[in-house]
Amino acid sequence: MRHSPQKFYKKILGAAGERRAAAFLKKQGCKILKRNYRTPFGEVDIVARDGADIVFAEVKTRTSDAFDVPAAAVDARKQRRYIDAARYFLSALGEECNLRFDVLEVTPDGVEWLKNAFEC
Amino acid sequence: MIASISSFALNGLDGVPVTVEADVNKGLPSYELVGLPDAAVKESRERVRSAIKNSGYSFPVHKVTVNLAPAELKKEGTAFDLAVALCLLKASEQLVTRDTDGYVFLGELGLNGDLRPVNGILPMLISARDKGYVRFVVPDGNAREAQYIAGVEVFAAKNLRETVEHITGEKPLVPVPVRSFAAARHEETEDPYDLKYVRGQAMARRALEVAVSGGHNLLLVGPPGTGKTMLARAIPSVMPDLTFDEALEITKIHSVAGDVGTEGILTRRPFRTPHHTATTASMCGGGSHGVRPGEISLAHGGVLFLDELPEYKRATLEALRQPLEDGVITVSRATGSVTYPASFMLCAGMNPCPCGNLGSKDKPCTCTPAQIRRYRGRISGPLLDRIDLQVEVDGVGYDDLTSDREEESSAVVRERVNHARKIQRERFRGTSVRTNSEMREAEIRKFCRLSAECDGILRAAFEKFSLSARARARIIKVARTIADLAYSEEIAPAHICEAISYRMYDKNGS
Repeated sequence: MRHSPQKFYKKILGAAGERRAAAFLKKQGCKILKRNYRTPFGEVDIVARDGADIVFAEVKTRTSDAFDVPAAAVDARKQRRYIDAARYFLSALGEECNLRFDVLEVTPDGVEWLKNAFEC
Repeated sequence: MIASISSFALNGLDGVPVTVEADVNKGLPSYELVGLPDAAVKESRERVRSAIKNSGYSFPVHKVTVNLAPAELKKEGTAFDLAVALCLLKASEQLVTRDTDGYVFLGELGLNGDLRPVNGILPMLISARDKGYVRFVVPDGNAREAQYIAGVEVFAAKNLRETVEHITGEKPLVPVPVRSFAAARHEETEDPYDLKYVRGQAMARRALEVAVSGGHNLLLVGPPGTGKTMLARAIPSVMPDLTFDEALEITKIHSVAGDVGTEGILTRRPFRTPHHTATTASMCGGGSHGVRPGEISLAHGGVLFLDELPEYKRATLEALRQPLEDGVITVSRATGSVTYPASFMLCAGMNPCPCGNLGSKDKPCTCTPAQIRRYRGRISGPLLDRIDLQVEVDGVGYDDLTSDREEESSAVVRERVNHARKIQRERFRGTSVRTNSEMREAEIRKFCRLSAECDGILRAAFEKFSLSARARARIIKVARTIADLAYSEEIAPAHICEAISYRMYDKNGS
C-alpha cells in the first residue's frame, strides 16, 4: 500500500483540505503563523493567531459523511500529539500566551470550525 | 486572575469552612481540581462546565486550577459545584463584584445550570452560623430545611443564573422567611399508632410507660401475632413532645442521611426498625463513601425497634452495647473518626422459644429445652443486662379483642410520662443526666436511698437470681422511675418488687 493510488489520493485530498481551511481562517480574521508545523512530537496542520489566542488547528477532510463526523477522528493519541507540540512551540516562543486547540472539518458543504475542541 | 469563594463541608455533624480558590491563567487550556476531592467532587468539572455554558456564560479556555482549601481535608459530595462555578466566573472576570465575601454557597449543579438539593444542609448552616457566617445561597430544594434557623439570611436560588443576578444586585432574591417550629408541628397529622388501639396487655402497657418515663430499654417477649410490634410502634406517641433543640439535633442527623421529610424538620420522634439482616456498619454508621450515620444514630431521640432479636447477627447486637451506655457512637476509619449522637430507647421483640408458644395460656410449646436454651443463648448476657424491662406479651382473648371498651390513649399516658420526666429534670438540674436510666453510681447513692425493707428484698433477689452488680443498679433505677410515676419521694418496697418482676429473663436463669 506504500505507494498505492489510494494513499496518493488521500494525500492530495488532505492537502487540498488544509489549503481550504487556511483560506477560511484567513477570511475569519486569523493570521496564519505556520502551515504543517513540524515538531519532534509530530506535525501540526495550522498554527494561527486568533485575536489574543494562538490556535493549533487540526484539519480533517471528508468527501462524504458515510463514516463518522470528521472531528471524531481526532482521538486521544492525536490530542496528545498536539498538546506536546504546543508545549514545544511555547518553549521555543519563550513567552506566556494563551493557547487553544481547534478542529476544522472540511466537507463538500464547507468548513466547520470547532473552537476549543479539546484541552489537556 | 485568582478568585475565592466560601463553601462548607461536613465532618460528621460538624461543618468545616472550605475556601474554593480558582486560578485562571495563560497557558495550555487545562482544568485541574486539587484539595483531596473524591470521585463526585472530581466529576464537578463536567457539571460546572456545562452549567456555565448553558447559563449563558463562557467556560474559561485557559489554564484553570481549582483548589479546595484546607487541602488536607477529604472533600466529598456535590455541594461544592455552585462555589466552583462562581469562582470560575469570578476568576474569568465574568462576575465582577466583591459582594461574594461573607456568603457561603452550597449546591449541586445540573448540566442546564439548575441547582439541585444536597444532603446535610442543616448541620452545615448551624455550624456556619456558629462560626460567624450569616449569608447563604442554597438550592431551592433545600429551602425548607433552612427555614428554621434564626439569625442567618438564607437565599434559595433555582439556578446558577439566579445566584449570579442576586450577587450582582440585578435581581436580588428575598431571604427565606424564618418559620417557627410550632408551625411545623401544626402540620402534623394524627399518629396512626396509638396505645388506644392496643387491646389488653396491661402488664406490657405498664412496662412501656415505665420504660418511656425513665428512658429505660424494653424487651417484649411473646408468641407471634400478639401485638409486640403494635406496642412498640406506639412508643413514640407516648414519648414527651420534641423540643425545638431536640428536633434540630435529630434533623441534623437525618439531613446528613438525606431524609428530612416534607416539613424540612422532624416533628416526631424517629422510630427505626432495621431488618435483622442489617450489617454492623448499617447499624452503627460507616460505609465506603465517607462515614454515614447508622440506624442507631437515626434513632437518636427516638426508638430503635429490633423485632425478632435473636435473628440479628451477634456481632451487630454486641456493637450496640457501647452506644447503649454512652449515648454516642464513634466510628473510626483509616481516614479519620466521626462521632454521631446515638441516644435512643432500645425496644426489642422476640419469641420465647423457636416455636413461639412457650408460656402461652392456650397453645402448647413443641420445643425441647435444648432448643430453647440455644435460641435464647443468641442474645448475650451483657446485652440482656442492659435491657431493664423484660415483659411477656401473651395472646389476647377473643372477647377482649371485640369489646367496645376504649383502651387508655397515648395522650393520657403521655401526660403521666411528662410528669415523671419533669420530676427527673428537676432532680438532675445542673448535671448532664436527664433521665433515671442515665444515673451513675454517684446519683444512685444520692437519689435512690433504699429503706432496710427494700434493701432486704433486693438482697434476696440478688442472691436468689444471682444478679450482676449492673443488674442490681438497673433495678434500683427502674424502681426510682416507678416511684416517680407514683409521685413518691421514697422508693417503696412495692416499687422494688415491680422493678424486679421486670427482669423475667434473669429469673428464668437464661
